[in-house]
Amino acid sequence: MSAGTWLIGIVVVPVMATVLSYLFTSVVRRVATVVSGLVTLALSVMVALRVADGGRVAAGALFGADSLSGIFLLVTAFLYAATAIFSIGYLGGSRGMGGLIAQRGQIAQAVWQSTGAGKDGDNEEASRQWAVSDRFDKRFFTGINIFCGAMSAALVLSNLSLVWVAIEITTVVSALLVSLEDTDGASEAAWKYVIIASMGLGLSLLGVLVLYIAAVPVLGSSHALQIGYLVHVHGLARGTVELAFVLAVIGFGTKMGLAPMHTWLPDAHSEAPTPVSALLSGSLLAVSFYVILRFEQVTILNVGNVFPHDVLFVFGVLSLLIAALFLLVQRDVKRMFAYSSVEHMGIIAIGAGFGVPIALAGVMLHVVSHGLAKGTAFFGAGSFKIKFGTKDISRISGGLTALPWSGSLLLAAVAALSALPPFALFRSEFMIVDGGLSAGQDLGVVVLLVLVTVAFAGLSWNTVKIILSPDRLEVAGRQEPSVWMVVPMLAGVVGLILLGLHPPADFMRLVDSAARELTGRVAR
Amino acid sequence: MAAATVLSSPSTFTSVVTLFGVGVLVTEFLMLRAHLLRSQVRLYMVQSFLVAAVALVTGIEQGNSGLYVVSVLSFIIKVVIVPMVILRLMSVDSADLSQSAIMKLPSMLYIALVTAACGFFIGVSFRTASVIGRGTAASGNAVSVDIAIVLVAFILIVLRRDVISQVAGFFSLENGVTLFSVSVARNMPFITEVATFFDLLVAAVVFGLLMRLHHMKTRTLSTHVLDRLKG
Repeated sequence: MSAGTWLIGIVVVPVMATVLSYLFTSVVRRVATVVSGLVTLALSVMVALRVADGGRVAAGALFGADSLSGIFLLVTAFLYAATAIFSIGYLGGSRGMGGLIAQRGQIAQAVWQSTGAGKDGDNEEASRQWAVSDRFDKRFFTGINIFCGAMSAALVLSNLSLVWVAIEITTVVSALLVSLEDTDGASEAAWKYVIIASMGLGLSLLGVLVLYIAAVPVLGSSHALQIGYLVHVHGLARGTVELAFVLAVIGFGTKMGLAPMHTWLPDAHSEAPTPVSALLSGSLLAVSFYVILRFEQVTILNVGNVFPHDVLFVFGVLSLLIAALFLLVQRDVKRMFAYSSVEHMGIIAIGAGFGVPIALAGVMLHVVSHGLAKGTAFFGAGSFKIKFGTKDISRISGGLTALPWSGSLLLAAVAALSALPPFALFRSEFMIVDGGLSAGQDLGVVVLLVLVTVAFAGLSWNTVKIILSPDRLEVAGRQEPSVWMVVPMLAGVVGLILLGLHPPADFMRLVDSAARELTGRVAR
Repeated sequence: MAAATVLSSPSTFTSVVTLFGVGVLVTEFLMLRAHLLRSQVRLYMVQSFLVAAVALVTGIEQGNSGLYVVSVLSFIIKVVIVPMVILRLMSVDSADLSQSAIMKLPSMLYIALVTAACGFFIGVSFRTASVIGRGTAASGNAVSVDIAIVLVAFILIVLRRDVISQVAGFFSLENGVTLFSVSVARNMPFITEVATFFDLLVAAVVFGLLMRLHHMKTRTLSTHVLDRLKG
């Protein structure tokens, strides 16, 4: 099987899982989604290994990937697989624990059993409730597969306009997923999300078209939006490329959660079903950043590096500032992690703004590490929500007692998000700071360190309250909702430690190669 | 044949495209001042019809059959399907279909006019900075008009607080981008155009579903009630 076939597989496998999830029963949905997640992860690892030393794999003119794609594929595919596994426990677990998602199913089950409706089939209400529960299940798994498939497609499609289409599909599908719990909050969050993100994507489409206009005279209309050509082309009109880059940063930056376009993010991430929150935060933001980096590559080649770096730095500082301040006053666990995502997108943008190789390598490592840590953190928040029946920080205590595994792993994830050693985010932020200093951006480094410290205070204070404080609420039992929910968290934490202490050589070659993609052909 | 001959004159073609673009911009202003949301949707139909017409005219001028398809798809999706989805939703609630503006009409129009002027200036600087004379088109004032359309669409979304206006604003924005794509960024790969239309169709359905959900939850089409999530 050729490397090009792997790329096609990365798109086709989730589509197959989507069809199976829509057509068949709940067991098939779960099996198909987990298998699809694992196969996509395996294919992504194979692609990443192939492009680790540079170069590009392609399947015709439609699909292609280089080391930059490889980095983002790894994190997206890992979270796809982890979310698929977590969701089995989350949906089943919530039913078993009297929790959140399948409350209707639980009620229906009780009615079903107490009335014997399953035998004589005469209880219409119970039957209807089961149907609603099954509909939820079907929509959830179908949506997850489309969502992950669209994100993966955005990373392996060769044409920038088709990448935009894939990103827009992630918006509409994830907006439906956000609304899935059918609460007032979910409805409000979904509406705000779809309107704000769509407006942003409207601007980003304009950015794609402007770039097309700039590229046509040099590349011709058939190659003007092909990423493989665009990232090597010189001689595009300066003003046009600058306009395209700004439109892309504002447009895709809206999806990435850059301030001040981030306002949809805390609402959507906090109101979505937890597995969806993990995907939104760990994968979707990163995929949007990937597209911005593609525009940055073209801009650096044709305009020089000062303009794009300055733009990213300004948005990064603004995002970090707003997130750090809001982290201090959060009262909702998932909302707190949502603002943490804005914080980390700010760090990533600042790192990209520093622009030197060590900082860009740090950014690449940060993208992967943030995906692992944020996925784990949201999974942990999901376990807490089921166990305590709330997301309100003031109503949660003794997490380590009530949830020994999830509590410990959530604590580790928060330590990682706070960039404490030995986790990978310590290494990545260290590289970004090192890059800032070597680029002579001393003031930028000071701003970064001060704001990261403020964010650390907010994040750690709230986490300590829910995990390490005494169990004053006396929640029943030391029992995890489901082992399915612990396994992906464990994988995330192991990955964070591995990448922090001794990252595999192949992975670091991929990181270096991706950083070179962004710096190796800098126009002076 | 006669139409093709007339449009083959660059000045005539540019004038027609610019005229239709100005028509799209005018419909946007009318949407902003429309009291009834149904009127907004009908104005969107007119606007989309103009966009489809620009695609057709450009197709004739260039002899580009792909643009004929774009024109037909624009007509089917934007003039027929999207308005139908929105109007069907509106049939479930006719109680609060007006007065969603957050400020008085003259103030809104002033803001929109200033925004449109900004769009024109951006368009002018864009043209001088880049594409004129590079062989890729840029139909005179069309660039300025298209950017103004996109920016005024933002005003429509921000200053009207009801789900219909916001959706109409988004689709209006999309019309501006489509107009830009057809009249300025010519010869886009056909697959891109088709994919974008497919995407628009999906977006229309999802907007419809979410509008319905919003209405079920709040019993209104107003977005004033969306103030639960803060901080």
